[in-house]
Amino acid sequence: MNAYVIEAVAFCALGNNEDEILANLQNPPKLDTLSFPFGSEVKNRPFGKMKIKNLDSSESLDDILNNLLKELINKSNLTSQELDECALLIGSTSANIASSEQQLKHGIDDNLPLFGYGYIAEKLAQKFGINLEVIFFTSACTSSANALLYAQRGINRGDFKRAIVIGFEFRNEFSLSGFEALGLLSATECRPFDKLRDGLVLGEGCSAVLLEDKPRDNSRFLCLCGGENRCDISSPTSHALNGVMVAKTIKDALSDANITAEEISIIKSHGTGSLSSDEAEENGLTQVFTSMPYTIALKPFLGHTLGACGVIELSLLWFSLQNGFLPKNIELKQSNKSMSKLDILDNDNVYIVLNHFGFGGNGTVLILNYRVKE
Amino acid sequence: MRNIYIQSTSLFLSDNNTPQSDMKEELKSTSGQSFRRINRYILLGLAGLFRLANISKTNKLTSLYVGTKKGCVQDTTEILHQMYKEKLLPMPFAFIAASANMANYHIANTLGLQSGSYTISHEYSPFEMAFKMSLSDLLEFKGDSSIVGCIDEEISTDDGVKNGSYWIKLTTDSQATIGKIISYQEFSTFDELFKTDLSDMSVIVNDSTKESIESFVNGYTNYKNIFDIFETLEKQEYKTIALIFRLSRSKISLCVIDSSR
Repeated sequence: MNAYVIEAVAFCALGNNEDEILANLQNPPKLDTLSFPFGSEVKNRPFGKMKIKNLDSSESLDDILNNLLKELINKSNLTSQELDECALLIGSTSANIASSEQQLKHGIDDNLPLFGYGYIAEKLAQKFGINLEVIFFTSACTSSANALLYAQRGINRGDFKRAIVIGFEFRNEFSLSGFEALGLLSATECRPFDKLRDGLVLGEGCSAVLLEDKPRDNSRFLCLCGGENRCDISSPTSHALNGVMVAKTIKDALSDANITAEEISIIKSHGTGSLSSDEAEENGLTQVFTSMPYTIALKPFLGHTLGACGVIELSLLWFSLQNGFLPKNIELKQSNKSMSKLDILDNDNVYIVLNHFGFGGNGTVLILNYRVKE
Repeated sequence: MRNIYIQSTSLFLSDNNTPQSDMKEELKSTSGQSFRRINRYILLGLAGLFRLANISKTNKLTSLYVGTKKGCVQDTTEILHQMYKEKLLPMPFAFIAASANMANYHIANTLGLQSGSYTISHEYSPFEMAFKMSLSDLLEFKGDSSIVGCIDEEISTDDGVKNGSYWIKLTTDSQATIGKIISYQEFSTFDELFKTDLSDMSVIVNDSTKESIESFVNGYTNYKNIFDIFETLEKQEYKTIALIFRLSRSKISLCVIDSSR
């Protein structure tokens, strides 16, 4: 059984609603620059800032998640009975570190709100009367992708009929300084798979999607039809450059969805713009696909939202497909330049690979199916 | 239902002020290896893991499911204090190690695992949630073995607050096991659950479900942490166990385990 995308909402660098995000995906604005302390220095780095004011208290960060969920519930017309029978699955890397930093900046250093990631999920579930499984996934950049994979499997097993999956990542100096200390941040821009790429650009955002066991619109739908998670133990910060485990994860995901590589029309790459991660991903992709499908990378538009990227990038794709366009592609070594995005969307049965790879050697590949029935 | 067996269980608990050097010594004696670049949270995980019987013979296609209530709090707090009070930069190793899933990485790396690896947090039942995830995957033929564990820096026990980790190894291989999982079911109410015939079973429930079941069964054993029953499992004290725990407000799990020799 598939898990059908019913609705999605997102607050990110591209905007806070579907219209804004769509407009900015087609005419992307340059990302902002963020200044942050780095020891005794101040660093300026490109950053995908959310278009939300007053991000200066832990309460406001809670408010953002509350507003996000409220908006999804309203947009999906979910009743309290339907919420009662819903799972809430959340993925994030930094969890409430941003809130802890707000306290430290205000001189409050006791009882930092590092009170457990599960608590964040439970608090939201209680507020909105969500009573089935409530789980917080925290596996670095694959966090919310793993939440999506669990949602698809839970719906497939019949554990629940619907799941709300949230990914969030709010700006924090812990992550910015940590990535800077590792020498991974770009000083210029995010250029996935480009020979001149010089690192990743971080971003912030949050997004929520509602998945159900049946489509509400039988004439056009997007669904998660499989996926797989694998660990690569070659390095704590990157997959093996030869791409072997990237390829294995993609192949296992295709097998889980019961489709072949030849049936894939679109790849949403992880595409961070970092030297090693992109090399590993490209080498993995070329081992699976003899002719490269139309390949996109969404991080140049909004920055790398770390553990939130799984859900945010799925939402962006959902907004695009519903409106009959795809974000601009990128060129890989074996890219199939004869295929245009219009050719793809003329097809009434499109399969899409969503790649996610992160620290700790965690890799999650999801398979989407987009169908239009006349 | 696919045959799934419990191969072994393990527990490592320490006091909050136990020096890391002592824990590293203990880990070296059980694993035969020296570990570098690990923080206290990862150390707690590895120390418990290497108490699992025959852990070094683990198949590389074994999946890993790690739960936590709070994650890596101590080291994260220390880095934040260094950044905000002492204006120091986070050290690259400390930054990488603070990610809660880095314990999974070190476990997978040590055992050479290449299969699924999940890190989850659950407010009430992190171990039980990870156990359910693992069981669900095994029942769907996603792999033949798994390691399920929980790592936390604050574990409330009868002897006070401890830190540590606890583990269980599941397999579809019937050789050298301590129990067999006969069934796993989920119910939305206790009325529904107790329509199941539990006679001739030893009922074991977690504390959060204790009060709810008092009107249904006469005799039962309750546990605060799942590791409280590990000894029972290892010693195979009961023939058939009905293990009852709550995963959410509307979901109660019943796992029936045949623990006879």
